[in-house]
Amino acid sequence: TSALEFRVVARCSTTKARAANMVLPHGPVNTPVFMPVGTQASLKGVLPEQLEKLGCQIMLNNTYHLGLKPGQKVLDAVGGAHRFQTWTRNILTDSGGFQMVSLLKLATITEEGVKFLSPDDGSPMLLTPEHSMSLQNSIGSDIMMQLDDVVHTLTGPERMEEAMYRSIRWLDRCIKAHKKPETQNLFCIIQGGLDKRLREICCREMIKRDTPGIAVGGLSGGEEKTAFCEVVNTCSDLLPQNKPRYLMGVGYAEDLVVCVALGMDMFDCVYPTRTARFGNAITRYGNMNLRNHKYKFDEQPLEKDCQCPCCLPKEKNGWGISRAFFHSTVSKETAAAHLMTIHNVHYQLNLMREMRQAIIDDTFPAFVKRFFNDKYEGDKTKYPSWAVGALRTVNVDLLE
Amino acid sequence: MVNPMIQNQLKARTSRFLSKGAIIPTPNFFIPLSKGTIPHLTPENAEHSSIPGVFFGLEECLDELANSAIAKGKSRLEDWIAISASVSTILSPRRFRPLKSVSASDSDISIVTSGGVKKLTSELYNSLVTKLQPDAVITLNDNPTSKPGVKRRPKMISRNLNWAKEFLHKQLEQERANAPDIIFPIPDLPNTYLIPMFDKLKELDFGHIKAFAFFGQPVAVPTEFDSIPRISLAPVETPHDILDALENGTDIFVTDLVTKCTDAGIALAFNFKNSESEVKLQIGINMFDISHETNMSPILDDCTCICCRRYSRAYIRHLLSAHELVAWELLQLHNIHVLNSFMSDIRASINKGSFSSNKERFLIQYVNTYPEQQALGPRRR
Ligand SMILES: [Zn+2]
Ligand SMILES: [Zn+2]
Repeated sequence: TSALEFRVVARCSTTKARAANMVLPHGPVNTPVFMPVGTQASLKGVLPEQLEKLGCQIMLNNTYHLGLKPGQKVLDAVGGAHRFQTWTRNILTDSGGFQMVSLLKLATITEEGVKFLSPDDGSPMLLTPEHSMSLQNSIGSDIMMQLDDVVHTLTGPERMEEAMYRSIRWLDRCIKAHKKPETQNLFCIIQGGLDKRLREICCREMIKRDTPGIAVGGLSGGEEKTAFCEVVNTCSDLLPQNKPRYLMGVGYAEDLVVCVALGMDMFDCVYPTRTARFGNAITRYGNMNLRNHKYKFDEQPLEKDCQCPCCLPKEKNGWGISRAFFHSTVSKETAAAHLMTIHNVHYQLNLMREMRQAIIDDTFPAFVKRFFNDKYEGDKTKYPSWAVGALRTVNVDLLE
Repeated sequence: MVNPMIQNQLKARTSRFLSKGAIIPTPNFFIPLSKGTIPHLTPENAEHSSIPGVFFGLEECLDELANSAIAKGKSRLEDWIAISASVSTILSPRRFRPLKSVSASDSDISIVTSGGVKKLTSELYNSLVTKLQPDAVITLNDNPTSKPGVKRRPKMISRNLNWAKEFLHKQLEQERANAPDIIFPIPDLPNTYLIPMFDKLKELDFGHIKAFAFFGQPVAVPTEFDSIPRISLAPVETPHDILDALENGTDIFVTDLVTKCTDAGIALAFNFKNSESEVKLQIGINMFDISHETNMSPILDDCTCICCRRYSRAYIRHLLSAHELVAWELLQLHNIHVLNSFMSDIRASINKGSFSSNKERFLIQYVNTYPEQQALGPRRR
């Protein structure tokens, strides 16, 4: 049983990019899709109705954080995370394991699960696949992730192989423990680091388990980008065409464009929302830090012709917020963080919509070229070589 | 000594403050901006919550005086405010609750900016006002933050008069259609100083004065000035203070009460509807309290604010305890709504002639303190 429909509506005739209509228990999701991260049942500074207006169809919540606050007891009492935060669209939750390993230095992994010390009182606790499923069932997320054994891509081969096989065993325990397969979709997570052989074994094993969707994990640790793209390519060649593919923790604009070209459908990243709070705006023409003195007298919007409410001029019923205004308020006023988060989230969602439209129109390669041209202001010598190389594997030559 | 000017006894009254096409029914309140933002609110939410007006202390943006961003560009004031142009704006030289600064001369006052203490001349202030085009402006004023000595007091009066005169002249010379309305500053001084000031003011072309800004409690004014709206900059902390201020003749008060409660995690919970409750009621709810943990009801059942229409006490409590920014956005929306309703009920009550009895009932009904504050505002971290 599954609570997910996935229909590919267009394929790029040059690259591996595809556009699909996915239907989840809380409504449609058009892919390729970027999922903003609302760690603690809230996107930093953006109200659910604002996120709806920006066109967001699915957001992330973090299981580890919701397990601490408000806690499973409260989630059960209030009827889950959708009702709690009044979010009527879809939610994806992670397993909680990655957060623990990355946030808590003392976490240790055994066959049973992830052992850690409670951040509240320091008492020893254990996150097992069963416990993670139980938490995610209480949250009621539309897509839930299996607990996996995440190790850094630079980990030695033995430990890497162990983590890959353990992730498969934990998937089996998750499937067994999942109480609501008819309303919540469990995704498996492909592990195996940068090792092609391990990734292939993992893909084949996990495809057998026939989960409604498949994630590629363990790739957001700042590894070498060429190797990263090779792994994405390896997986996307093996994964079934009729299931959504979620590349975890990836969200820089260049990465999104390249990985869509390599055949990925779903993405998430805290970067656009986190970086907004430090005064960084993401734009079509590159990123800018509004704290920089050069913006002090700059009366332009963050991004020329941006359709987000911050950048739209007042004559067009926008808010007409200037760079100079951001310069004087950023990191001083909470409202400035709200405003810039709205711009950045709009940027990410809009980028995905533009890519989807280009795939449907079969103009995706031209879109990719224009994207890099805009980002680097026409200077091809600045194009990252990993992106040029990766796009060549799918028949797009940025430099020609 | 008979005071010739107190012929009109101060009392609560209703009227309208007309500013650049906006009609603001009074009594009402203005919210001080923080660097051009209504704390925690994005523009569309500021608009939905029907804020009557905002108060912009120019010194917040004058880090380099004439070389500040607000001064150098071609922008008008509305480009420096993250709200829609329909909200009325009062520009003032100094912020609401200014930081300590005492010195002034006949041509300038000391202001406290992020670039340090600076001298703001009347010339610069007047030219900035002309460029920025606020709806209304409090003319430059000598208003020391510590109690002025006897030598300073008459100087405060004469400076305020001179600077207003200068500003008026400049306006009349340019005869600009969108010239701001003039609000004349009245210092917190005894009547012995104010009586001659009002006499001098009569010699001015006071038809251009759209309101008085009182730095202390409003005082009775000569009859010919009685219909001029009285704006009070004296801080009010509780609804009880508001009722007292209105009884003292305040038409508009500038208040940060809403933001202070929001920062503290307190949801305002009072109204002027005079229920028959026999138990003392709280004026605010500590939203941080564990009792809201699984409470899926809104803050107030009958509240129609953006927050109460959609969000629960449980969620707001969670957001506060998780230190999530939207906690303060939601509380701010609710708190502004409560104060708006309170003021609208007060106007109705004054019009019906039942203000005094309603006020008495209010004082019996509500305690005069907020619940203990547990949450620290996001900006105070
Ligand atoms: Zn924008
Ligand atoms: Zn409310």
